[in-house]
Amino acid sequence: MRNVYAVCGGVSKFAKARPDKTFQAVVKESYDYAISSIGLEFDKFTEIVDGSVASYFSDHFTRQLMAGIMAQDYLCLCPKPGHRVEGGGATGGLCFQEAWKSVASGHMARRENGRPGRP
Amino acid sequence: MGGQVVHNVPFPKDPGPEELADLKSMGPLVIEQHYAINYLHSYGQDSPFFAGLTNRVFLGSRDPATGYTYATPRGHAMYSGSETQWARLPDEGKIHAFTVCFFGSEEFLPETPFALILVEFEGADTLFLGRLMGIDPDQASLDWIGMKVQARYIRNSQLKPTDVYFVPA
Repeated sequence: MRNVYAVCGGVSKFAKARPDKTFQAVVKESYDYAISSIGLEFDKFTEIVDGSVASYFSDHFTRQLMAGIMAQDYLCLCPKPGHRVEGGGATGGLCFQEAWKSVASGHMARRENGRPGRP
Repeated sequence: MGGQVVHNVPFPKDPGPEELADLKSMGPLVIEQHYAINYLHSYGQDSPFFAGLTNRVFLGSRDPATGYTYATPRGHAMYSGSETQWARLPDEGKIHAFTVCFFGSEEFLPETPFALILVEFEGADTLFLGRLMGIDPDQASLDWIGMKVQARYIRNSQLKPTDVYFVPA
C-alpha cells in the first residue's frame, strides 16, 4: 500500500449565497486556491493529476443529479479516473477517505504502457 | 406531519388475540402529503447565454489566449483554466451526430420520440446538444450526418437550454 499525503487544500469564498457563479465556477475557486498553494499553474496540474473524487450536497439545490462530474469536467479532469461519493452526513469525510483509498491502492496511479498502476 | 384531519379509522373494539392476528391482513393507510419548496437558483456567469437565447442571439465561450471556442458556454476554458469571453455563434450549423429518443425523463416523456443532435458550428471547437424539429423521427437516417441546420428560438423564453432548437436549413 502506498503512503498518502495531504499536501494542500483550498476553499471558495464563503457566503450565504453565491448568485455570481454557478457551482462549477465556485468549485474552481477552491481548486485554483489549492493548486496555487503548491506553486502550480492550472494546465501543469491538469497534466500531472492522476484522478479526482467529488462529493456534494445536495442534488436539490444544485438542480443536478450529476454535479460531481459536471465540476470534474469543468476542471478538465475528464477522462482521467474520477468518481463521486456521498453518504448521509458523512459525505465530505467519505470523499476524503475515498481519495485516500484511490491513492493508497494504486487505483488512480498513472498508467504506463497500458498497465495498471503499481500499488 | 401531513396535516391529516382524521375522523374515523375502522379498527376492532377491544381487540383480542384473534382480532390482533387479523390486523396482519389490514391494508395500508395511505395519506397525501403536499411537498413544495421555493429556491432561488442563479444562472451565475452563464446568465448571458440564456439572456441571449431570449433575444435570439446564440452565444458561445472563447479562450481569449488561444481562441479555442466552446459551443456550449462555460465560464472558464477547459485547458488553460482562463476566464472565457463571450463569442457570438452563427445561427446555422451542421449535424455532427444524432440520436432518436423513444423514452425520456418526466420533462420530455410526452414529447417522445424526438431527435437530439450535436451541432457543429463554423469557428467553434466543441459541439452543442439540441433538439432537431421538423423531421420525422421514424425516418432517422445516417444521411442526417452533415445536414445543415438552422437555430430557432421559442417565442416565449423559459430561460432553459430548450429555448433554442434546430430545424433543417
